[in-house]
Amino acid sequence: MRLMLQVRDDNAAAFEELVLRYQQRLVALLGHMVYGADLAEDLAQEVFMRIYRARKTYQPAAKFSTWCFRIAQNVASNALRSKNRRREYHVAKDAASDSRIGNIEELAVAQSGAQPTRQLDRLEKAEMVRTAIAALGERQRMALLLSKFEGQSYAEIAETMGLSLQATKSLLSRARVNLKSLLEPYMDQGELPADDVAKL
Amino acid sequence: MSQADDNVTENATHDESLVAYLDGELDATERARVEQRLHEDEKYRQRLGELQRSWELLDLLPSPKLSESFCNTTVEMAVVIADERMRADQSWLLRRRWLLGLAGTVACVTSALASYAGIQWLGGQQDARLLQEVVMIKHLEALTHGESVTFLKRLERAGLFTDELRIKATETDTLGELASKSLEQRRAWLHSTTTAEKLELASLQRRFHGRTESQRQQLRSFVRALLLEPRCDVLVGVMYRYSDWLSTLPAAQRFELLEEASEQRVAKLQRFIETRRVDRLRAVNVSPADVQLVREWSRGLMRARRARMFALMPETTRQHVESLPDERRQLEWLFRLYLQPRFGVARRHPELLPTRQELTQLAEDLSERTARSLRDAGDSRQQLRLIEQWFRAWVSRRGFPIERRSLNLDVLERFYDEELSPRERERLDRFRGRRFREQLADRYFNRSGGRRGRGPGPGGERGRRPQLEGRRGQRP
Repeated sequence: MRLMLQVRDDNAAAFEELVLRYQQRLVALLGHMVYGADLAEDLAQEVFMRIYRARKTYQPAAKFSTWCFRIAQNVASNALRSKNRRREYHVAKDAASDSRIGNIEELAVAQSGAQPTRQLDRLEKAEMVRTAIAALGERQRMALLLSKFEGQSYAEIAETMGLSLQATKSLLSRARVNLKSLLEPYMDQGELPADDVAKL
Repeated sequence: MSQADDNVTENATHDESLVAYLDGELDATERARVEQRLHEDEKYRQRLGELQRSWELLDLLPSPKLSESFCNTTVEMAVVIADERMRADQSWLLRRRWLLGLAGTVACVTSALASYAGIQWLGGQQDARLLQEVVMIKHLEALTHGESVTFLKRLERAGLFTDELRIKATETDTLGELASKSLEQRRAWLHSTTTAEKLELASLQRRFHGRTESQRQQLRSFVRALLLEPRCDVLVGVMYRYSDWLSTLPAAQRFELLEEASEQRVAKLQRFIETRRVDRLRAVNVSPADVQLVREWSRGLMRARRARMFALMPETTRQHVESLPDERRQLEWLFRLYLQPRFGVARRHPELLPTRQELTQLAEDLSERTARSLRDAGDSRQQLRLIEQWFRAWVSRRGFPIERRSLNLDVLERFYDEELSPRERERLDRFRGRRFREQLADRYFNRSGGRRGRGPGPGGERGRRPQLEGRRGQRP
């Protein structure tokens, strides 16, 4: 917050420090939101630009990170909307109706079926998880990511996403249950025993 | 409401409780209730396990890699935004002036001539200003970190960043030297810099001008005060080393530190350094007290060999050692050189190796355990090798304070010989010349975790940050 107050006073060095401090976190969060490193960087840059443009109106009422991630949520949301519009235009309707859960199952079955004894390597596992995350609704995904990677409490998530505490609790619960359902076939196949996960 | 609807609602409520339980968001009563049910209901336990396992799978998500230029590009963009805004304001003012000036052609011509002359004058002024400010611009980062003469003195008094064994600056444009140059000499120096250096200076200049006038004024006063200090060189050395070390910290740690007031920061640094040092000493199985004895012993050793070592070292190096302010520092510097493989005590000058008597005398002073490990090390070469390990653990090559500015070939050579695997060496050998050194230096900093100042950021330690663990401490 102190840093942002310096940015508000046109301190360019403070802005640079701010970027250094939040760049990795924002790119990681946005990367998981929209999938694609290049796009995530563009969006993170957009977040920083919005912050910079709005610096004069910054009011230190809330935590800076909350404000920053709220902007990130808006930016990601816009990006996803335009991404979806493009997809709607290009992709056939039947493809859009595919169950994404099915895609994960197919992937798991294809990978384990082709070589039943083979353990999925880390990249494949990561891809499974990524697909599962992508299958969640935008708000569930955001809440989940804020909780998991930003370590935000329910109250903080509620503030970032503009929700009530109870709504946040329900949202996160649904997100976690959906995630479990999406990854269930994959876990049930015994490809990734709990011990294995614990070691990672 | 049907039975099925009731079940759905009930399940949702249970899931909410379980998830909140896993997230450590339940109050004591609810937590006790969940735990009671977990104790009694196997299915409930199973569901908790499933939720937990799927949550842990998120750790598999790779963190997107950030391009090296991200920060610079972003800041540049912000500068452009600020410039555009400024230009827009200026352009509005110009339009207004133009309308006023439209009243007469003569006035326009006069105005144009005046503007031309003004630009010429301004250009000259800006040029002179750049040359005057180049000292601050060039050393902007170190000066920013240095803060004030008082802070640097505080660091020095606390014995932090005072290790000048290797600080003989290899750069020809240190703060003092650059400040002592006339404007013409500075202009010549500026022209002699490479394109990359000019670009870096330009970026620093933008940062400098991005500060408020009072901040710039503060920097000017700081530089003036620093240059007037009788022990300016020492304080500048402290400032460089502190700044270099700071830049090796991950951003989050750096900010945590910089947010402290200067006095508390010095105390925090002392604690941090001491902890790291104790860890390193523990790793080589020696106590701080024993290392102090080794350091004292090394001074005696060097005193006895000083003349011979002076005769063996290049003239410039000898002059540097002699220029050090006191004998103690001279002897410590000599000991560091003595341990360098390049100096070659073991290979080329075995007559300088510690004698049996000297080693016995050291062993007698040391604690029993350390003395035993010294004796068990083998002959004098091997014993010296062990002493070197202790000494290195004390002067801290890992984590603090890293002297990137003076990272020389000896350090890299030793790193190449001793710490790289044959396979890594093979890979490196594909590079030649400067590229080879860069690659080697990269590995050197990477190996020590965070030396390059781009250690795992908060996003890189996802799910394992202390803050997260603290909050999720209630997980089963």
